[in-house]
Amino acid sequence: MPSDTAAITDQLAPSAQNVSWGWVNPWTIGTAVIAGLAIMPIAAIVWIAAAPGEAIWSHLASTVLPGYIFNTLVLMLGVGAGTILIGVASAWLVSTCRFPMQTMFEWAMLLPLAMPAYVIAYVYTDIFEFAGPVQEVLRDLFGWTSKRDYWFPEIRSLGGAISMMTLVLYPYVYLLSRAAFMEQSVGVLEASRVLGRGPWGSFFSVAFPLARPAVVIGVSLVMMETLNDFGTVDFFGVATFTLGIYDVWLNMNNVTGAAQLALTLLIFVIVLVLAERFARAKKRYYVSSGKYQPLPRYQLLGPAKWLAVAVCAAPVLLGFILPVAVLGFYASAHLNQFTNSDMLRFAGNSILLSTLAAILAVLIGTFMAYGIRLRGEKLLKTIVRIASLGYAVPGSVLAVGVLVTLGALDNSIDGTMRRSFGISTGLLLSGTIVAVTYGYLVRFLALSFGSVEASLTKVTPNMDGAAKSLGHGPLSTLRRIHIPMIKGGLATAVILVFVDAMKEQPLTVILRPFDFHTMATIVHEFASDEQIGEAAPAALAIVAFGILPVILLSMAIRHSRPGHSQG
Amino acid sequence: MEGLHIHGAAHAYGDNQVLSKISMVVPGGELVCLLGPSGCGKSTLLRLAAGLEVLQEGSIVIDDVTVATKELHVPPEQRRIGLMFQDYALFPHLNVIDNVSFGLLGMARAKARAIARERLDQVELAHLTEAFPHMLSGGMQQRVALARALAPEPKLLLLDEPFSGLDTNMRASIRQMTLNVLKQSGVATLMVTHDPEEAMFMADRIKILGRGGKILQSGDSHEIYYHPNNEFVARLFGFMNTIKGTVQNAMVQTPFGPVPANGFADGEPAQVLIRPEGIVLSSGGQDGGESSGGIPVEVNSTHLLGHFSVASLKIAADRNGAQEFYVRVHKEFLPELAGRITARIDPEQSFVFADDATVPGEPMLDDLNILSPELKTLLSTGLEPQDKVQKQAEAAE
Amino acid sequence: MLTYNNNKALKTTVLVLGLASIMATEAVMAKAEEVKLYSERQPFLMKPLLEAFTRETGIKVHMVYLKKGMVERLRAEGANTPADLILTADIGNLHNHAKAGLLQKSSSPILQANIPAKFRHPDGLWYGLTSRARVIFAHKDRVKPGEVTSYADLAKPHMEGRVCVRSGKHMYNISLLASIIAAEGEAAATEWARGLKANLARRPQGNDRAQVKAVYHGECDVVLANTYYMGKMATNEKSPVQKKWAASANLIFPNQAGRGAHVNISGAGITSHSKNKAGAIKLIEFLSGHVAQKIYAEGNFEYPVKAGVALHPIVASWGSFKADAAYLSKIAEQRALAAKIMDRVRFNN
Repeated sequence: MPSDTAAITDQLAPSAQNVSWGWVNPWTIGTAVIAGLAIMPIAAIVWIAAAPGEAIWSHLASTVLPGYIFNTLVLMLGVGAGTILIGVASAWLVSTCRFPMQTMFEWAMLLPLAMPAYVIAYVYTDIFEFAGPVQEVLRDLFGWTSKRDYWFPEIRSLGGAISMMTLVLYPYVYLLSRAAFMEQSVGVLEASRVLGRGPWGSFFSVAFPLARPAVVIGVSLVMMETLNDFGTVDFFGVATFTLGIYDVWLNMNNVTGAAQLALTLLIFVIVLVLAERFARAKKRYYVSSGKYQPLPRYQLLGPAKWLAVAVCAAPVLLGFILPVAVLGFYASAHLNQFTNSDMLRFAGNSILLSTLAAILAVLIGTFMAYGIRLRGEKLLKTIVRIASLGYAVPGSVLAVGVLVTLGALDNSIDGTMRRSFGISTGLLLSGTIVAVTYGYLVRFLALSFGSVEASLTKVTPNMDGAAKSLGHGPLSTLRRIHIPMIKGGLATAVILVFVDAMKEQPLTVILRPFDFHTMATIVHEFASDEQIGEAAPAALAIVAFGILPVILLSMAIRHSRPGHSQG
Repeated sequence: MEGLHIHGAAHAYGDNQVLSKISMVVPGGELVCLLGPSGCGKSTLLRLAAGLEVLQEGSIVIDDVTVATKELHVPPEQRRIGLMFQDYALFPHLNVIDNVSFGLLGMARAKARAIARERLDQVELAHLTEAFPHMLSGGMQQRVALARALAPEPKLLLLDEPFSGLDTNMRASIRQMTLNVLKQSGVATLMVTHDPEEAMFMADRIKILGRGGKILQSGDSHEIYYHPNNEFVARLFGFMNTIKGTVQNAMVQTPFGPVPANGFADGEPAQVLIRPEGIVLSSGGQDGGESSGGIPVEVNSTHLLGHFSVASLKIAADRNGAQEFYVRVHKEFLPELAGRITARIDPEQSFVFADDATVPGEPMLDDLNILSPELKTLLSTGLEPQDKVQKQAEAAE
Repeated sequence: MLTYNNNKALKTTVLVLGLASIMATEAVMAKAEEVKLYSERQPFLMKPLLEAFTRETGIKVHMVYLKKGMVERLRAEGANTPADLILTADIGNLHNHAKAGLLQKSSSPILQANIPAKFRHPDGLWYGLTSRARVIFAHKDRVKPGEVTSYADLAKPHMEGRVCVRSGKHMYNISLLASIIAAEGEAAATEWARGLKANLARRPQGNDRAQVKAVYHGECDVVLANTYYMGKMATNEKSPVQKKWAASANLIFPNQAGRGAHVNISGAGITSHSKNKAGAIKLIEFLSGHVAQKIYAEGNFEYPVKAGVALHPIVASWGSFKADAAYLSKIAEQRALAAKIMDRVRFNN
C-alpha cells in the first residue's frame, strides 16, 4: 500500500515541505519514534534469523522449496487475478451502472470482508468434499458409487485455496477501485465513447488504466493477506512458503530457519513493491481532475441487467450468505453458547480490543502520514515504509518478534530497577493487553497509514499554504483542514483495522494475558480440536460484529465523493 | 443531406424541461453556434447529438443516418462524431500522440500515429507528441483536444465552450487557429458558447437559445447584432442603456429625443435599449453640435480601456435626473479637452421592445455573465456580476 | 486547539488508567495462591479439571492456551515469566521445552507413584498425563480381517489407492514417523513414508475425523487416526452423523505382533523460573491423580497414565493393546528428521 501513494507524495513533497523547521520538530521525531517501535518486532525476527542454528536451506532447496515457491506464486497470482476480476467488475457495475438492487450491492459487496478465510474454508470443505452434500447428490443422481466413477474438483487444493481467499479478500480491491471509479472524471469516459470505443473498450482503455493505482493498492493488500494466511493453506494442505515457515519452526524445531524463511518472504514482498513502483516511475500523473459532476449511470437493460445482478450477487452469496447460513446451521446445535455469560465477555474483549486497535492505528497512521507530509525526508519515508511491512509477516512469526521485543524491554527495565533500587518490576508489558494491541498496531499499520496517506495526497499542498498564511500551525491545520477533508479515508482506515482485528488470531493467541479470550481465539480453540460446530457461534459473532462497520464503511465512501451531497 | 439535422428535440430532467421542441440544421461544411446563457440547455443539445444522453422526443439525423429517435439510440461510439469537451477530458494516462490516435481504431498503429502526428502538426504541437496532458498549458491542452476530436475525421464536430478555459490573451490566437483548422477540414460543426463575441467570430450562423430551451432567433452575426428580435437577444451582446417610457404618437420619448415606437400602439409601455456604442458623442464643435441633433450632456467619468474608452454621462438639462448612460468611444476620450459635448442616438444600435416582464428568456442577473469582458470590468462595482464561468474555468486549470 | 489538547489529554488519561487497572487487577489476584500455566490443550478440555483442582486445594489456576510460540514466549519472558508450568498435547513439545532449558527438574513421590517411568522424564523435567495410540481405522466390510495389521501394511502394494491420512506434517504423523525412525532407522522410515505416499487415495488433507469420514463415504478403506477420535465421534450427540462415521470402521491396533502401537502422551512440565514450584507440582500431582485421570479418560477418551483408573467403556471395548516401548524422548529426538523425510518423499504434494 505505501508504495503506491509514494509516487504522488513525492510529487507533492516539494511544495508540502514549505514548513521547514529542520529535523528537530515534534512531528518528525514522533514519526521516527513510532516507526522505530513498529520496526522493532521485524528487527527481532532479523536478530533471530541471524542466530546460529541448523542450516535448513540445502534440505529445503533439494526437497520442498521449489514446491513452496510454485504454490505460493500460483496462489498469489490466482488470488490476485480472482480478486481483480470480482472486485473491479463489481466496483465498476455499482459505481457506473443502474440495475436492480444496485444500491444494496454498494454495501453488500463488502460483506465477505467480515468473514475469516479459515472459517469459509471449513464451511466449503463440508459442502464440496467427497463426503459433502453436493457430491452426494451428484452420486445419487447419476448412480456413481466410488470416487473413480467421476471427476469433481478437489476443494482441498491449491485451486480451492485460491477460491476461498478470493471470496473473502476481493472486497479490498472492490473498496479501492470503487473509490477510484467514483473519483474519475466522467468526461474522459464520454470522450472515449465519442471517439469510437464502446463501453467495454472505454473501460479497458480509459477507466481501468486510470483506476490502476487504486487497484494495485487493493491487490497488494490482498497479496499480503494471502502470504499471511496459515489457517486456510494448512487446512487444505497446500504447501505454501508460509506453511513451510511453520513447518521448519514447529516440526523441525528450528526457529532460526523459520525466521530466515520469513525474511526471505519479506524481501520478496519488498521486491514486488519496488518493481511495481519502478514500473510506474514515469507515470506520476495520477491526480484526478478537479472537476466533478454527478455520475451519470448507464441504465442496464434486458439480459445485461440480470447479468450485472449475477456478477454482484455471486460473490456475496458465496463469500457471505451461504457460509453464514451453514454456520448458522452448525451453531443451532450450540445455541446455549450465545447465552453464556463468558461468551458475552469474550465478545466484549473482541470489540474493545478491535476498537482500541482501530483508533490507535488510525491516530498513529495519521500522525505518521502527516509527519511525512510536513517533512518528507527520504530516510524518514523509508523507515515508515519498512515499519508498515508488518502486514506481510505471517502472524505467529510477527508475534514472536513482538514477544522478543517486549521481553527484552521488560527484562532490561526489571534488571535496571533491581540493580538501582532493588525492586523487581517483573514483566510490565509482556502478556498484557498492551502487548496484544502493540502486535495489532505493528500488523495493521500498513492499513491505517496507507489509507490516511492516500487520502492526504488528494489534499493539495496549497491548502497547507493557505492555512499557514492564515496563521494556523501544523496541528491546527491538521485538525481544521486535513481531518475534515479526509474523514472518508479515516473512516475507511478505522473500519478496515477494526474488521481485521476482529478476525485476527495468531497474534492474539500468542501475546494475550492469562484467561483472556476473544471471539477469534474461541474459534481457534474449537477449530484446533476439529470441533467446527462448537466454533460456529463465535465465528458467527465475528461476522456479525464485522457487518455493521462494513456497512458504515460503505456509507462513508458514498458520502466521501467530492461533489456528492455531504452526509 | 450532409450535416446535422435535429427535428423537434425535447429533453427534460425530471420536471425540468431543458429543451423544448428544437429543430435546427447544421449544414455540411458550416459552423453553427448555439449562443445562450448557462442553463439554457445548449450543452444538453450537444450531448443529445453526441449520444451521451438518450433522446426523449424528436429525431436526430447525421449525414442522412438517423441516430436518435424516441425508440432508437445509436451509441456514441457508432455515430462518428467528434466532441470537444469544455474541460478537454484528455486522458491523463496517455501521452499526446496516444490521446490523438485514441479514436483511430481499426488501422495499423504506425498509420494511426502518422495521422495523429499530422493533426498535431496542424495545431502546431508536433513537437510535444510524447508529453503527458498534465505537462501542457491550457492552450496546448485545448489544441490536443481539437486534434483528437478531428483525427478520426468525424462527420460532425461538436464543440462545448471550447475557449472558456483559456485566458483572454490566449483566446484570440487559439480561436483563430481553431477556425482555420475547422475551415480546412470542412467538417460540419456545432459549437456551444455563452460568449457572443466568440460566436460572432466563429460562426457562419448563430442560434440564440433562451431559457427553457427555445431558439429565440437565428441568423448571421449581422442580423443578430443589428436586428435582435427581442429584448433577450439584444441584451446578449452586453450592457444596454435602458430608457422606459410609454408610446405616444408612435414614438417613445427619450432624453435624446423621440424614437420611433417600432409598431407599438399608443399607450403601451415600451423600453428603448441603446448599446453603449449606440450613443454618439460630438465634442464642442463650432456649431455647438445642435446641427447633428445632439443633446448636451455632462461627462461623469471616463475609463480608458485600450483601443476605446467608456464614459458615463448625464443629460445636462436633467439636473435631478439620476439616470446615467454608458457610452463607448473609440480611442482615448478626454472630456476636459472636449469642451461642450452633445449626444445623439444611432438608430442602428437602439431597439424598442415592449416593457413587459414576461419577455421570453428575460435575462436575469446571472446573465450579466454574457457582458463583454471589458464592460463587465467597468460595471462590476455597480452591478457585481458573478463571473461563475470564469471561476470554474480557473478552478479546472 | 485547546479543546484538541484537552481531548488528547483525556485520551491519554483513559489509556493510562486502563493500563493501571489491568495491572492492579493482577496485583490483587496475586494475593491468593495461584498457579499459572501455558497450555497447548484447549481450555474447554482443561476447565473441569482445573476447577476440580481449585475446589480441592484452593489454588487458583490461570491459563493461556497457545499452540505455537510457547517456547518463544517462555524464552522471551526469561526469568520474569509468570508461567509456572506448561501443558502440551504431544511429547514433541515437552521435549523441545526440555531441550531449550525452559523446564526444571522436580521430584515427587506421588508423581513417581502415579506415572509409570516410561511416561516421565528421568529427572522429572516433564510428566506424561494421558496417552493415546495412533491406530488404524479400517472399513468394516471393505477391509478383510488380517489384511492390515501393522503400519508397514499401509505402505505395501496391496493397499494402493486405499489409504487416507492427514497432512504428513501434522505432529501426530511426524511423531509416528519419528517412532519408525527410532525403531527401524532412517532408510526404512523413508521407504515406509514413500510406500504410504504411493498408496494414498487422495492428497493428504483434513483432520483425523475427516479421514474416518472418508472411510464412511467410501473414499478410502483404511486411515490413520488417534484413538480418542473414535470415542469422540461415537458419542457425538451434537453432530450425530459422526456416529455413523465411527460405526463404519474397525479400530485396529497396529504392530501387535511387533514392537506395538505408537503411543504419544500429553503432559506437563514445570518452568525453570516458576514462581510457585510447589503449587505447580501440586497441580501435576492432581492431574495424575485418580479424580483427574478419570475426567481425562471419560471426557476425552484418552488412556489414563495412572494404573487402576477405569477406562471409558468405549475405550475399554477396543481391548487392551501392546504399546511401542521405545522411550518417548528418543522418539521426540527424531522429529526434525521425520519432518525432513516427509519433505524428501514429497509426502504432501
